[in-house]
Amino acid sequence: MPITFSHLNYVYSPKTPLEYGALKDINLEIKDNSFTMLVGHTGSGKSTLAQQINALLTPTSGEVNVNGIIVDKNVKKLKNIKELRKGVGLVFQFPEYQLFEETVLKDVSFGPKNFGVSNEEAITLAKEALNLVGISEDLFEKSPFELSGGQKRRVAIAGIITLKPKVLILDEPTAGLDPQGSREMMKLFSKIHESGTTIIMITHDMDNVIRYASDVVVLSKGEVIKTCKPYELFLDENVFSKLSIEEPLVITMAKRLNQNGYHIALEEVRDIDSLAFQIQKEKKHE
Amino acid sequence: MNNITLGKYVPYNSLIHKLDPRFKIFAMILLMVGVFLNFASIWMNFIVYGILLAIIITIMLVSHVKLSSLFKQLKVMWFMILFLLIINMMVPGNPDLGFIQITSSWKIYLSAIYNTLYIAIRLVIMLAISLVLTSTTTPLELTGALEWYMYPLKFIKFPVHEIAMTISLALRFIPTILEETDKIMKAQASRGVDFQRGKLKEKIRAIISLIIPLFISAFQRSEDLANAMEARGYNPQAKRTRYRVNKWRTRDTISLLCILLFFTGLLTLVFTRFDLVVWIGSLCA
Repeated sequence: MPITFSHLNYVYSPKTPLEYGALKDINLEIKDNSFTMLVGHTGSGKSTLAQQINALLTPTSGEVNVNGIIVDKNVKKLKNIKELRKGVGLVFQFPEYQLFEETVLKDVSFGPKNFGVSNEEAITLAKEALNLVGISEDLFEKSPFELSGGQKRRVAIAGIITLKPKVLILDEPTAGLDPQGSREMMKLFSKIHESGTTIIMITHDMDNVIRYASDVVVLSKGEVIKTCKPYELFLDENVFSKLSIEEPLVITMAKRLNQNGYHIALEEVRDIDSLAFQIQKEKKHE
Repeated sequence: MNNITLGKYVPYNSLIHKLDPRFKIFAMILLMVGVFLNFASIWMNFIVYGILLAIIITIMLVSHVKLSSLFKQLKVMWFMILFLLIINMMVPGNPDLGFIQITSSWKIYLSAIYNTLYIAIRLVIMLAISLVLTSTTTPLELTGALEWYMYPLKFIKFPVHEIAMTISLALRFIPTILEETDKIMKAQASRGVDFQRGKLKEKIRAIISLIIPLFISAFQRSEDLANAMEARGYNPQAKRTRYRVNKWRTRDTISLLCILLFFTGLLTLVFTRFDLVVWIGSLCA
């Protein structure tokens, strides 16, 4: 499902002294089957932008077109809002707080049931999703509140991916996880992406950006200041310094090597393995 | 969600915002008592209500409190007013005030309608007063003022400070919990919960999916808060100083005099059974 934003503005608490323009004239296209990452400072409008896509927030002006379903300020009249939300799954930051059922299985099957799936089928779907996120079967009948933090996060994410959305939006899904858990989580999203899901992820982790993203959207003060391929982000000093982010080590290394006479294609460098491969290739070339 | 944030403090720099919170609480109580006074006649009551309403609307305009927020509340009250009217019509009223004969055996006393109107107007005025108070005074100022009023109770070993701290914490977390509610509602909406429409059974499920996470996070939050307070050595018995000290200024004295004068005037009207309508009538005669 391609997603197009056109002239979208969003204002928080309009016509009060607390008025705040969170998004200003956003024009953006998110391609089908892309792994798009939204980066930017806190308060740059990343989360606000993400929530426009499944109509949790509706534009003050302008519109979002999600595969033909148009979300604009008259969205309350939109009849296919449920259809939209079925197609666009949104996982909030720290999604653990949305758990409420007595058992893990019941909680995950809550979503499908809301969309009119029968009880048995919902349970099958839930089991599938739980397997995918790596929750073992002996936890299915436990209360979600007895689980560890990382397990809770997995269950909450399973609650969304069990809906099999065409677009999956993730708001800092790895925040607060240990490095190991974070890596596993990213692998999981990569797997979901490969199965044909468009993924939009909000992140601060540049290592993840360089490794997994197909496109990057940079937001600053409510405006899109750059849309590019991940490696290009680290070529543009201007954007780069504005974001005050740290360059991934692999990119730094590749850049240094290039300064010393190597010809490494930066767009091919995604992690340590691919960097090693590029160096190897260079050596063979010689 | 925005309709729940009714009466939330809105930072403006109006005269009402700058007044001492202790005065504001006092004035609120006096005005509310004023609303419940009973004057010489029905018309006199309505005249005084009219004056009160005019004063409060002026105050609302001065302090930038939106009139529309008051009307929004009235929408909710319609049902209650209708219910009151029906109850009032069922009970026998005062026949002296006249009645409308509907059928030979059933009549509506006019006093029923008056009584309902009284209650409705009183509610509107009280709502408006508290709206002005809470939207022009920060929760911190309010509890500070409450603590000041409760100070005498300290001598009978009443835990004034603890109560004030509890109230200020409760007030402090209202916006946080509203935010949390908003967040959970959105998260559940992404899982297909429809909070607006649906059958009763679906609605109940929707509410459960909101309330349970909300309670859990509230308990979690209070535990964290208690731990954080303890870690910083909070001791309820300790003597505490304030960063912001309420300073009584000339404008507070002037406002206090005005409100006292107004209230005395109202009391005089009550005790002398003064009736404007009769008085004007006697002047004309």
